Amino acid sequence: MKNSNEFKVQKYLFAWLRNVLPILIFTFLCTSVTGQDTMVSGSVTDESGTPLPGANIVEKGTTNGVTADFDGNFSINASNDKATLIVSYIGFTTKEIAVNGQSFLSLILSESAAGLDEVVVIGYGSIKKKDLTGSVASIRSEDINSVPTGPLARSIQGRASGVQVQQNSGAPGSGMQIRIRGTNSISGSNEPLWIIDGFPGDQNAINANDIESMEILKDASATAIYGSRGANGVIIITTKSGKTGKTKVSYESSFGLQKVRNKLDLLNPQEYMRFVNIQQVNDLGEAFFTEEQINIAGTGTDWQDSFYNLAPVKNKTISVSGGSDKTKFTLSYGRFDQEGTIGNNKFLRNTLRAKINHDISDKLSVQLNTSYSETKNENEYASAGFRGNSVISAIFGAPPTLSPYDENGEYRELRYSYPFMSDGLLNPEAYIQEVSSISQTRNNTINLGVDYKPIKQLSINLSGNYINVDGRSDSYRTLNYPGSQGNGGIGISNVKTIASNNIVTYTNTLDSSHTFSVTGGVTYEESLSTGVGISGSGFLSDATENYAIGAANVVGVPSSSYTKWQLLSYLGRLNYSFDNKYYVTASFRSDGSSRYSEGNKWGYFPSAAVAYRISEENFMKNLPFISNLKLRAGYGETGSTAIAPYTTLNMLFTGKAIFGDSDFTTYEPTDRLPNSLRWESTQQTNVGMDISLFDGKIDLVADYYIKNTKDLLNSVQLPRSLGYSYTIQNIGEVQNKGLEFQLDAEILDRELKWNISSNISFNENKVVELYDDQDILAPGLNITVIIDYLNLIREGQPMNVFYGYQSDGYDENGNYKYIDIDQSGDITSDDRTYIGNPNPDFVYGFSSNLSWKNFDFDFFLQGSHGNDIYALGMAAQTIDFGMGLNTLKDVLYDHWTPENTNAQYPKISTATTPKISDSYVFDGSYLRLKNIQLGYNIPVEKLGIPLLQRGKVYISGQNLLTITKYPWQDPEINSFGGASSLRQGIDHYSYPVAKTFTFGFKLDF
Amino acid sequence: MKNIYLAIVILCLCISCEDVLEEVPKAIAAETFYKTEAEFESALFGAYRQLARSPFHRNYLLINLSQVDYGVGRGSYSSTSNFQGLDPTNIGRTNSMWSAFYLSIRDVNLVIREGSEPDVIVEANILDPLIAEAKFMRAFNYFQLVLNWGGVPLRTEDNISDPDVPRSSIEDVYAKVVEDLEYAEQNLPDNQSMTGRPTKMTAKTLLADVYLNMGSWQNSRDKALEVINSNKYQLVNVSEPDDFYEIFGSNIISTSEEIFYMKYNPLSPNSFVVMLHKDNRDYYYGNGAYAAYVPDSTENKTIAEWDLNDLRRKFNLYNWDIGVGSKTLLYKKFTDPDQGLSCDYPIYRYADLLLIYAEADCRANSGPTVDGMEKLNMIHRRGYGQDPNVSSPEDFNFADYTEESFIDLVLQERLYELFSEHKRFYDLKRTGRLKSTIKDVKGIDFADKQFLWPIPNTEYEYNKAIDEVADQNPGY
Repeated sequence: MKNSNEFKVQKYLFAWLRNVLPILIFTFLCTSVTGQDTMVSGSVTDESGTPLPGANIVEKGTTNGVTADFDGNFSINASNDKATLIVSYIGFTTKEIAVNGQSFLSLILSESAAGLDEVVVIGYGSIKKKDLTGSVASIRSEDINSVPTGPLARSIQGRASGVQVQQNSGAPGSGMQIRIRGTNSISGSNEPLWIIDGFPGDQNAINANDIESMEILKDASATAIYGSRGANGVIIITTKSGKTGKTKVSYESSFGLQKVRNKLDLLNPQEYMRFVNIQQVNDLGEAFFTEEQINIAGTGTDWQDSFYNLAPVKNKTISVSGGSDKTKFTLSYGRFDQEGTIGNNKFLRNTLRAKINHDISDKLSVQLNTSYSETKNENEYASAGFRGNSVISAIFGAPPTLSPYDENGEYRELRYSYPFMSDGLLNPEAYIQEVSSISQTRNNTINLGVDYKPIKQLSINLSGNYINVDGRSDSYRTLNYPGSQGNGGIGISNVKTIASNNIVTYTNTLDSSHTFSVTGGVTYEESLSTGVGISGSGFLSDATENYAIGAANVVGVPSSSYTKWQLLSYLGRLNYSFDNKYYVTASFRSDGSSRYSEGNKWGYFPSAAVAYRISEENFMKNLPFISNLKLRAGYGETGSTAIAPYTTLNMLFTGKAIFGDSDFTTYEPTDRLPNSLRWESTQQTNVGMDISLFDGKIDLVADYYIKNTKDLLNSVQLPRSLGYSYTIQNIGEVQNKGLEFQLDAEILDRELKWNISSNISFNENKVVELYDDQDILAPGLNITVIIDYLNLIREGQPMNVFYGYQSDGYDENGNYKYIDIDQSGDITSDDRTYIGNPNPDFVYGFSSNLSWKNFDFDFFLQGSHGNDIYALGMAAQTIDFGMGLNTLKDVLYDHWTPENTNAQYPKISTATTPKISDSYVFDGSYLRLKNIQLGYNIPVEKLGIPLLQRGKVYISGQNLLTITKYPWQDPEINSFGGASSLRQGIDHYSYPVAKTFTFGFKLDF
Repeated sequence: MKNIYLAIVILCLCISCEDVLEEVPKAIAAETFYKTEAEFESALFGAYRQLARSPFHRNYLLINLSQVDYGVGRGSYSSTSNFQGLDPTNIGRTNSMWSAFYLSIRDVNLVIREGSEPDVIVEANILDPLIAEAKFMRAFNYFQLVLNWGGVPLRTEDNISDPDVPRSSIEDVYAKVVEDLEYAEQNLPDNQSMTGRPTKMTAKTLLADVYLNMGSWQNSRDKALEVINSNKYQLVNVSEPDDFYEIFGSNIISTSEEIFYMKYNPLSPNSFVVMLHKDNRDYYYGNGAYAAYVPDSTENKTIAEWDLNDLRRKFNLYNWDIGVGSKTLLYKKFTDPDQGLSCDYPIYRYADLLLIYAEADCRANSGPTVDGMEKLNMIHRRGYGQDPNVSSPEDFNFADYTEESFIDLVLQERLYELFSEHKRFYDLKRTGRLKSTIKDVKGIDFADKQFLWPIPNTEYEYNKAIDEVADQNPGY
């Protein structure tokens, strides 16, 4: 396997080089193409005389341009001595200067008042950062792009305070769970709203390289303008637009290799046979393997090595942007191609984006913004399972004494290999080779808008957005798979979303000190989802795979679905500021949702906030090191629809009853009794402070919030004899409160530059009230030896805490003992108690960017503290005896015997009967080196590469270092994570997390 | 460009009206349903679906096979075989059966209530057979409930939406069952075009069993005799063990012996077959769960005393080592080598009815009669591969039996004939022989709490008319 991995590395590197080589060659070919006109040289510095290396110098009206070197010096071949040069540098005001026959120019750029004058995108508008009254975090586009692997949500992990991002699984393309300021809802989604270029969109359909800026709206005064969609925070993405000037071509490519971070220390064949013998002797009185068999067992199969691949991940983006005074455009293509570390798992994403803005006149402009993305996920081996019935649990559970193939070269039926073997144990090799599942999505987004400014102060924006998402899933199990007769299925889904924003904004300043801006609008959104599913089993041949379902012996009952919802909203906002000192913001939104019953359709979501910039007061001018000090306070209400469409209607569902030998359709009410419902609403109060010291060298943002979510919607149980088992009601209240800090500092600003950025967030969650004191139990967990629920929602506790038994050592037979909490004499379900909390005390991130001459060195740390993990997979692997499954070395070497009663593991016997207990609750705290990167900026002009504007090569590593006490695969896991999942903090045979080494480059032409 | 502008303006004008917030699902709402005969029929079929997908899918059979004298349950079913009451896992199973019976009752209550509404647009009386079928199903559900839980909340078309309904007495439940069945036997059709739906004779069969369990011997005997005299049903002839697959085989759609079965086919398969086998490819291709079995063919008295010449002995059991000993037997009445899982689940078949008659007849006459013995002998002869209708040297003679010994004989014949169906526990319980048989065969003292299943916590916690302590069944 090792050899084949090395071979793979070479193969992948070659394949990648084949792709990028033509571009590199093109680059170098261009170096020989130079002209000879008027040579102008010069230097670029800031006002203090510090050189500005990397400043851009472009001859106006041409594509001719160079970059200043380390000392700020440049030389450019101007087309004639009347040429005008445009000099620009990030954070400085761009300057134009006429050459006028001079051969040397000393150019001094002045700093644009960066930071405070920075414009921040907010809901239905934008605002200067200094004028903000709410809590909004911005993430720099270079941070978004710094980690080349994985979904977009991963790029915001640890980058902003108040935002908790959890990886649900290590699989390529797998989901992330995002919580902004805690969990609000029980049955509704807790994921933030993603707004892409003004409209709700799918974050998985976007290439991180296309992103210009990302803003996270956290408090209600910022999110209330999104009303019923704002309760969980809003993430606003603005994609890159073309800029007036010469056309820029950028090419970025990276290649990485991923390796499973952490292998489990499982038994080798000899140990396995001894382990089985101990169990057989304990339960049946007789060993199964003889000493002789044990002695000749050999090295056997390391199933982890056999199925863990060194897997490549490739990422590239090519973009072209530019424009004239009137028309600007940008085009980009990106491809992200990742193989999984297990079997033949693959994830592929292609994205295309085009954006055009055109000014018809000074008053009227139009824009078109379209994107296409397709994703393809092949063979994403699901986590969970037990006794080897999932690929991941089979890799751990398969006996090391057996190989994937038998003597005849056929797949070994592992489950029949020993009489004690688990019946569910699948052969991972057979599964990987013979079972395929592919899911694909194609997302088309078209966004058209018109801006009309009849007068300078008034802007009318009308825009429409259309998103069409086609999904398709294909699955097939061949005839070669043991016990298979051939099973195939196809699922097709389509979601069409139409949205329209119609926004009017009026901004004016009176008497030079009263500035106000009024925004009003109407928005509408509707979404229609349809789906069809077909399946069949029993095929004559594998040739058709799942493309001839009709040829199956048994064609399944086809399914089809239709769901539509609508949301109509009216919104308004007033921003007022006096003297750049006092700020007031008030907003209002009313949402009408189709999901609620007549009379309850409309929800109203107001907000108000004030800010006071003390630093503008005269008495503060004595403290010149304080460049900005602002106090903020705000209150607002947001909501959540929380229920699926048609929940308030008494819908009948169809099923099949059989008479004779045929199916007949049935129509029945569901087991949910319909009920009249009203909106879930969240009231949030936020106070915060922004301090900027030493001219913006140190920035500190601190916020404190209290969020109360009322009228929580959830099911309420009914007596089963009613014939309905539950109804949905507005049942209770949950509270989140927390503190968050963001600190950015520019420590060195000379030849050696050093910036750091750090954040930390504390959130405390508490269930304030539930209906009739009814606990809400999360869905159960099942590993056969344990079938029970773990997470629970109970009044007075944080949401989703772990409930179970408290272990109390072992009894005289080596079986688990539990504490009899109610002292009833028996261990019953009344002895369950609090055994852990999956919610962290705090999460944090720290990043450092160091640059010196042409080198830069960045690293990024991220961590979580105080959260518990229930290691369900570990429990299944270590206390399910008598099934012939492999286990940890620790189990063999430290289990209960009459001589070792204080062992880590109980007696190896089928009589061991575990319960959900604190034995498998572990501290899930971790600190992880998410990314470390060394980059080199190619000194383009020194090397005389005329077309190339900028070039950078880098090597980086992801997840190279993790500090944790968690004993199983990886602490960064949440097997059942999801938008409204109550099962939090569980590690159930998760797809392993990889560490990655990456090499890449970025070229701008 | 002006066109786009115009289009968007028109769009925003259009959306300003609030009609857009109306929900128009592409599905059927209860408010517009229950109007045509076909709609009533589909609604009624839901009551069957609930039973086929839940109790009879797996657990009704499995729990009952775990509480018999001749075998045990394995794994999570094994604790039931200790006869000390149900453990939490199995209580979870009986709880979901409770829910399923009541979902089925809800479905038929809706049919009965909506069918009597004056605004129904179908012709008068055309719904009568469907109402009768609904009442049959309601009676069937309450009969299962009263057998397993004793007195239960009685929910009819009159108290459909009242959450708090107390437990009725056993007598009241039986009275309602009899009332519904009397309506059903009057109004059900003589024949149904599809097997699996009840006829007049199905209602009479169920009534005979209900009366038998009520101790109303004469009524039971009379109803059973009406069914016999209708000549609607015949025993299937067999000459070798595997001929019984002509009755139980997964490819059999119906037989002359079928009175009332839960029907399954490969599209809507059962899962009780999965639970009976391991990986023997003659009987089941795939991963069986072998959740119930006979641990030792020689140790268990009930099995050891079974005459090996009785074809049913060979037909019902096969030897297969599942890792607990070489003499282990598995049940093979229900097998499906093709994995279609289309075996039907027999609830009443003619053999059962003949034995109900024999038992009721003996009780009604305080001793066996020639006719009662003949019915029993028909079953017995068939078990030995002989023509059921021709007397045989194997026959028992009624003169050799007293009332009690004849009841023992009926129980033995029921044991062999209805082997590995779900009847044994109820037969022993009905005839007062449960505790003695378990003690005799297994040496275990049967705990009284296992006579009944507990009222689910999901009932008493949310039904204010049922008290968790005072209204719970003994022992739970």
